[in-house]
Amino acid sequence: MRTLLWCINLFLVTQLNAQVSAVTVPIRDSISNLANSVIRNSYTEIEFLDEENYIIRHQITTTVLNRNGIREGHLSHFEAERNKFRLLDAKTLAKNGQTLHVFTEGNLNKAKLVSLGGEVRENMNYYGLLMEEDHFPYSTYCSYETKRNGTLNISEWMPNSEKNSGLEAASLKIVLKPEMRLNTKITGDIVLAKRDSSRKSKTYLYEAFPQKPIPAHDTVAIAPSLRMTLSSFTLLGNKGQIDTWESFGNWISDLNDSQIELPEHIEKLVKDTVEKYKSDSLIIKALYAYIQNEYRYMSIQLGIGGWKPQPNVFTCNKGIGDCKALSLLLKCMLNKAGIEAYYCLASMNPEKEIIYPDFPENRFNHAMVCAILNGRNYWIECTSKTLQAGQAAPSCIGTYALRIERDKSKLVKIE
Amino acid sequence: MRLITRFILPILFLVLLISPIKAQTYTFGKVSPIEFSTQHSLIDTSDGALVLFDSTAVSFITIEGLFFQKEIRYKRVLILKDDALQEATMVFPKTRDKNGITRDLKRTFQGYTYHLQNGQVSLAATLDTSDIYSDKFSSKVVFPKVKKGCIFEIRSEIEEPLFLNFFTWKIQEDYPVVKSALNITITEHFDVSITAFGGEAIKPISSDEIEIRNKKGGEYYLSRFIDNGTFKGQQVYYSCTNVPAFHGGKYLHNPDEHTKSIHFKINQYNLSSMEYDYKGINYDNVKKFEKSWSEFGPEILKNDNLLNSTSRIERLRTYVIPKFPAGTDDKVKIDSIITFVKQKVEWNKKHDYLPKQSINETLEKANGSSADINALLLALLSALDFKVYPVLISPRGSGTLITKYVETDQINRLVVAIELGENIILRDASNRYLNNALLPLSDYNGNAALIREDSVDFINLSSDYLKMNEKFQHKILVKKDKSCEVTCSINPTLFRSAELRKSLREDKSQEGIKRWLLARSFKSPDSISVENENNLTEPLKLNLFYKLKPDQEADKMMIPAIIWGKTFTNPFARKSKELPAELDFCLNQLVVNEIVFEDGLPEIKLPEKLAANFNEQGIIFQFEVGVFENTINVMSRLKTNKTFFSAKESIGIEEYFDSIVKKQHENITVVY
Repeated sequence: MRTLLWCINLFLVTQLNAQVSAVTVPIRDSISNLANSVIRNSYTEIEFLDEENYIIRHQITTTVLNRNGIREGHLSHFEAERNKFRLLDAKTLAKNGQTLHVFTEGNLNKAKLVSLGGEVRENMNYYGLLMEEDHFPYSTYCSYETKRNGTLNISEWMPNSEKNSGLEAASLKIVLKPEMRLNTKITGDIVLAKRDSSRKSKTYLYEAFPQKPIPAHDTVAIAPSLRMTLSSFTLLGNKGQIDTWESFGNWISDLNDSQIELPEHIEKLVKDTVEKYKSDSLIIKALYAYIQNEYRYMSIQLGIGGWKPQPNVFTCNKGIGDCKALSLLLKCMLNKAGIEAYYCLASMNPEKEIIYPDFPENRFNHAMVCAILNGRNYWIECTSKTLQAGQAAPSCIGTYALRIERDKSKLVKIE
Repeated sequence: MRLITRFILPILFLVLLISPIKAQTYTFGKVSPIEFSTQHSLIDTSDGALVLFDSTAVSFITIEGLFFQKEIRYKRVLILKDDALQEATMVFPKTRDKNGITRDLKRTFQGYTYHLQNGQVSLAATLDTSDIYSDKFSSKVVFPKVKKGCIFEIRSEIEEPLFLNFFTWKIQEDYPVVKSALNITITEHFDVSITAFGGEAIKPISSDEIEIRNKKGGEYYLSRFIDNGTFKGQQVYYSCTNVPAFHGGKYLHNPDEHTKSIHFKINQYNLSSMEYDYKGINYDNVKKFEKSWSEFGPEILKNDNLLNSTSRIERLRTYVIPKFPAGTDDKVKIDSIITFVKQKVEWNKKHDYLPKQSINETLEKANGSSADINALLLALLSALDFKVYPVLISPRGSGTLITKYVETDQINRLVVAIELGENIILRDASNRYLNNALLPLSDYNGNAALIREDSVDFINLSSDYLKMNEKFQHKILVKKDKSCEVTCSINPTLFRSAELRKSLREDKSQEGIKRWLLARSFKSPDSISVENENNLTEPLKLNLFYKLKPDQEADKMMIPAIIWGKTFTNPFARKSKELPAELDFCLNQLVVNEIVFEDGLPEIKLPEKLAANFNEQGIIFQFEVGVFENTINVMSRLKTNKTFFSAKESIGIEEYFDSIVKKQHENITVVY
C-alpha cells in the first residue's frame, strides 16, 4: 500500500514538474501570434473503473498573455450532482516559474445550478476558480479529479476549444479493464502515440499536435477532438451496447417498451378517428392535431427520465410531456391506428453535435416521430403547436435521426 | 325625488350590477363561465394570458415564542394563447438562511384546472402530489390538463422560519392582471420599510380597500419612485385592478424600476421579550438591519484605505504630485492630476464602493479597481488642498439609489466630488479613454450620495442633463465616369469616442472600428484615418474613404438613415405594444451630406424642407435639402432634451420618425 501511494505521489510530482517547467520556456511565435493565451501543457487521464464508473484526472498549465486571455486562465467546471469533483492543486506562476499564489479548495467558488422556471431538471454543480494576476504574462496551473457515474456520454477530449488560444502540448491517457472495448473517433491533429496492455489493464496514449490560435472571426475551423464510447455501457443501472446503431437503438427500445400502454379512452379516440377519416394522411393529421391541442410541452428530466419517456398513461392523465413523452404517445397512437410510425432520436443542436454515421454514439437531445406514408418518411414534431404534420423542426432538417426499431434501428436523414 | 327613485337609482343599480369590477368576486374552487371571456375586460388582453386575480396574504407571526413567516397566495389565470402555457408551471422558491440552508415548516398547494365545454365549466384536473417537483431550492407546481382557453388556479400556503429576507410583491408582470391584492400583517416586533416602485402611487391603508383603475390604453403611466414609508405593528392592504402587462425591458436600463411592485425591507426587530431558537436558527435579541445615510456616511469615511493621515498627504505632496507653477488655474490642476492618475494606474475593470488597497499599494501595483483609483485621486487632490469628498453611486442596472435608507447591494461605485467655489464637480480617473470631465455613462443614474463628515447630500446625476453631440458628414464626389469618391467624417459622442479609443489601443487594430461602423450600416471602407486619438477633450474623428465603381449606387449607399431607422437600434421601433423607452443621453445629432457632381448637376428631384418641434416630448427634428452650383446639400438634425419616454409618448415618436426616415429616402432622386 505504501509503495502504491509512493507511486501515485511520484506520478503527481513528475507531472507537476513537467507542467511547471513548461512556463519558463519561451512560446514559439507561430503559436503566440494572435493568441490571448496559450495552453503550455494539458494532461488528461481517464480511468474506467467498471462499465458504469470512471475517473477523470486533469492537469493544465496556461500562459495568459494579455487581458483578453484572462478567462482562459480560470477554472470553470460543471458537474452533474451525482458526480464528485475534487481540486488537487492550483496556482499562478510568474514567467520564471516562481509560484505567485496558491489556491486551495477554500478558494473554489461553488454554486448550485438549478433548472429554470419552465423545466424540471437535475441540478448541476459549478466549480469556479478565478486565477488571475495583475501583470502579463503569467501562467496558471490547475489539477483536479472528477468521479463520474454513467458511461453513455463520455466527455469529448478537446484539448483547445477556445478561439485566439494556442496549444503547445496536450495528451490523453485512457486506462480500461482488459475486457472493456473502447471506440474512438478522431477529428483533426490528434494521434495514438502509444498502446499498452497487461493482464490488469489496457492503456492508450493520445497526443495532440501544437495548434496555432484560431482567430475569433473564423467560424469554419474546427478544433481537434477525440470522441469515445465504451462498447458496453451502463447508465443509472441500465446496461446497453453502443457498438452499432442497432444495438444502441435496442437500449432505447428497452427503455420505451414498458411505457407504451395506451389508456382506454385514447384507444377509443384512435378507433373513432380511423373510422371517421379512413385515409392514413388524414388520420395522422387528426391525431397530431389532438396532441397539439390537448398537450403542453413540459420538460421533466430526472434520473433516467432524461432518456426514458414517461408512461403514456401518465402523459394522457396529466396532459403534459416532453419531446420523448409526446413522441412516444403519438407513435403508439399511430401504430394503434395501423400506421407504420417510429420513435426517433434527433439533435436540436446539429452544428455542435455532429453525428458521424460510422461512429455510433449518443449525440441526441431530442425525440420526434417518423411515420411512413406511401413509402416516404413523414416527420412529426410533437413539441410544436404551429408546425404541420410532415414538417420537421427547422433546426433538425438536414441532420441524422436515429429511427428506433428493435434490431433494425438505423440513421435516417431528416429532409 | 320620484324621478330619482324611478329612473336614476335603477340605472345606477344596473350599472353596478354589470360592472366588471363589481363582478370580480372570486371564490377559490368556483369559476363562472363569464371568466373565460375577455369581452368585458378593461385592459389590453392581446397577451397570451390574463391573470384574473393574484392575491397574497403575508403575516409575521409568533407562536409560543417562535416567529414565522406565513404566506397564503391565491392566483387564477386564463390562458388565451399557446405561447403562455409556460405560466402553468409555477415556481415557489425556498428561502435560505445565510448558510444557504432551507427549512420549511409547511408548504401546501391546492389547485384546479377548468375547461369550458358547451358553455359549462368543467373541472378538468385537480392538482396532486405527482404534479409538484421539489428540490432544495424550490417547489415547481406543474398544472395538469392546461391548454389554450382554460383557467387554472392555485392556493399555496407556505410557512417557514423567518430568515429575515423580506420579499418583493410584483403587482405587474408579463401578463395583465385584473385584480392584484396584498394583505400584510406586521407585528410590533418588526420595523419594516415599504417602498413602492413603478406605476402610479399605490397607497396603503389599514382598513378599507383602495382600487386604482387604469383605462384601456389610457391613464397608465410610468414614473420612477413614488411612495415610501415605514411601518411597525400594522396591517397594510394594497389592491390594484386592471394592471396592464409590462413590456419593454430591452429599452430600459433597469426594468424593475418601472415595473409596479412593492419592496419590503426589515429595518430592525426587537425580540427581547421572546424566547426563540427554532431548529438551531439563532437570532440576536435586538438587531438593526438598515442603516440611515447619516449613520453610513461616517462609516465610509473611517475606511482605512480612504482615510488620509497628515503624514501620508505630506508624503504625496513631496514625492508623488507633479509640481504646478504658481497661479495655475484650479481646473487645470484637477485635469492634470486626473491625467496623471490615468497614466500611472491601470483600471482592472472591477468596480467597488470602497478601496480594497491602500494608496501606496495602488501606486506600487499601478493597478486597481475604480474605487482604488478614485481613492488615490481623492488623496492627491486633498494633498493639493482641494476640498474633496467621496461620492457613492448606484450605476445603471443596479437601480436608482434609494435615499431613504442604505441599500449596500446597489452601490458599487466611488467617485470624487471637488468643491470649486459654490460649485461641486464630480470626477473619475478609472477609464483612461474617457474625457476627464465625464463619468462613465452608467453612472448617470439618478441620485448619487456625497459623503461629508457630518452629513450626506444627494446629487442629481440624471442623464437628462447630459447633452451629447454627434456629427456625421459625407462628401460624395460623383465623377464624369459615374464612379464616386466618398469621404465620410464621423465625430461620435464623447462616450462612444472612449469605446473606440479603447478598441484602437487594446486590439492594436482597426477591427473594433470596423465592427462599430458595420453596426451603423457603413460598409467597410477602403481606408480609415483617425484624428484626436489622444486628445480626450475632443471626440475621436474618423475619416473614411471609399472608391466606388460606376455600377454602384453611391448616393443610396452613402446617405445613411438619419436617425434610429438604421444607424442604431430604434428603441421606439416596436409596433404592437405600448413601450416605455430610455435613451443613454440627450442627443444632438447632425448629419450633413454633400453630393458633388464633377460633370455638372444632373436632373434632380428634392424633398421639401421639414421641421418639427415636439416640445412636450422634448424633441426637435429638422430636415433640409438645398442646391448650390453642382452640389446637393442635405442636412438633418435631431435634438432630444430628455431621455425617458413613457409608453404613450413612444407611440407618437415612433410613428413620426418612421415616416420621416421613409420620406427622406424616397424623396432624393438623381436621374442620370
